[in-house]
Amino acid sequence: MTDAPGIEIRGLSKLFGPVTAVDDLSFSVPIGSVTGFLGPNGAGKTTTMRCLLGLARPSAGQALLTGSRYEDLRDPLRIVGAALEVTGFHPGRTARRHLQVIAVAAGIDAARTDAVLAATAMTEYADRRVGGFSSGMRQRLALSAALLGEPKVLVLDEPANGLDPAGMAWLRGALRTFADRGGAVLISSHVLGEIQAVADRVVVIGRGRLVTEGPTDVLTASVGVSVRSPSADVLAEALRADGATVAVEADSLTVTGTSIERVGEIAARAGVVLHELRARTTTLEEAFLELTEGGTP
Amino acid sequence: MIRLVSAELLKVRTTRLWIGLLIGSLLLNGAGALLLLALAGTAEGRDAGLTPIRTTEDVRMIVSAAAQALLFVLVLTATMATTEYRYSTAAGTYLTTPHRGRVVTAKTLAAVPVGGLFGAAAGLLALAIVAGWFVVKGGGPTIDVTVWVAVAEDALQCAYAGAIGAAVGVALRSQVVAILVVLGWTLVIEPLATGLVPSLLPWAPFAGAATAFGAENPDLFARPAAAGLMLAYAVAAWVVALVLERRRDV
Repeated sequence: MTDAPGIEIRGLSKLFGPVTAVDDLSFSVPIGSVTGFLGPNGAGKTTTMRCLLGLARPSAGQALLTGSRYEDLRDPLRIVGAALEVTGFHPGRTARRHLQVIAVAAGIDAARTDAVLAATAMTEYADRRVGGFSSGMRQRLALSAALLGEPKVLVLDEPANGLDPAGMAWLRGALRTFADRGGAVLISSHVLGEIQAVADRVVVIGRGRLVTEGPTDVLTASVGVSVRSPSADVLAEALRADGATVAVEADSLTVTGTSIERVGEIAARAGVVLHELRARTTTLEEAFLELTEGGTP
Repeated sequence: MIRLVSAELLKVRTTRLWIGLLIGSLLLNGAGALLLLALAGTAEGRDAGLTPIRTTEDVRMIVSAAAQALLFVLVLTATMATTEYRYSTAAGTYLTTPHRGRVVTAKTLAAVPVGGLFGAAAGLLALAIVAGWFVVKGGGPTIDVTVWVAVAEDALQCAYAGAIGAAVGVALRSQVVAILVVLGWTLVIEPLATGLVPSLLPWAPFAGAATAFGAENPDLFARPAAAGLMLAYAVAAWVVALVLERRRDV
């Protein structure tokens, strides 16, 4: 492994005829992180991933994995594990056979197929034909294939689709462990709560362009203080006198321009009883909707 | 490359299409051989131009007819690539092997033994039916090396069809279109074109070049020239598939 980021997108553009799917996009996914990749439908997430994985030819720019283009990787499955919506299964082939085909082509020890089937709780279904699988089982099989080569980087497109709550919890834990062991994960998902729970960083794109990127906790940082008090008007007056901006609604106050500690101190000094005092944070979904002007993730 | 060819053969083996097509091919060829034996020498057979089966050359002709299995080979090997797009497994294939040229080459190479197996099986079945017929009826011509060569020629023609079919499948991607093209070419276009312009016959990929390895026909090229032509067609199909596949998104 080089010092290069797990994933680096540099000025990537992809045109389909007159349609610009990805437009001068740049971002990176550091080693040891889980990065959520968000954007409204048609924002260019899947196209970016396909360019990254050598499945689509970029019109301009570069998409690099550990410093190299996918097609230049010597043993790609040992570097990158990917599960895209565009990767499918032959319905007549069993789960085990599906993995064996990949293992044979990639020169991976056949014993790894059993290991990844066990890791994704698919051992029980290993000899069933994929045609009879639920969408959750297909997702688990796709993740099995992604993990087959014990990669350093994971690229996952909507991996939570079809997973039940237990599967989601497993995925969250597996990705966290993977990143903590020095891996890099790029994950797109419609389930923003899942991204918020697992991702250290997020990259938000819209219409093929970068909207923002950064740590998840910055995107969902405090945006004020919520207070409930039976003496809301008295407290509001005291806070305004201290320079804060206060919105009052019945017994609730929304305070901005000051800290939660300062609100508590002023309430104590004014002898006001508080029923609630908490920092207001925005959810990832709220932040996403604001950044993308209401787009569907 | 050995790994990739093994993976392609594993893909074929781990679905049921190949066994269905092999059974279909054997049933059709077996029925054809039986019908020929039953009609040869009868009044109906004479009306259809069939002479009694008496000589080793007659047996060789029946065994050579088993090369018709190449129709089934073309369908099977064309689907080796098209099913990858029908079921979206192509992306997984190229994630494992990003070098598309190697994948196309592996598919084409893997289709050769698959075709060879079909041709050999069809030829051996025809030979077994002829041998069984004369065991029951008594007598019969000698089965000499020329008959075994005919079995090998069936395998060769079908192996060639395998390479062409795989390349056509890669080039066209669509399962329905690929099957229509290979069957339309062999069953409609070639017979029509060579019927209208007989001088085209030796150049026809299946009715001409491949058939030169069947029954003796003075209208066709000699076998070395026919073999060269078959190799040229197979390489040309592979190159077209390679060029197209390298340029396209998955």
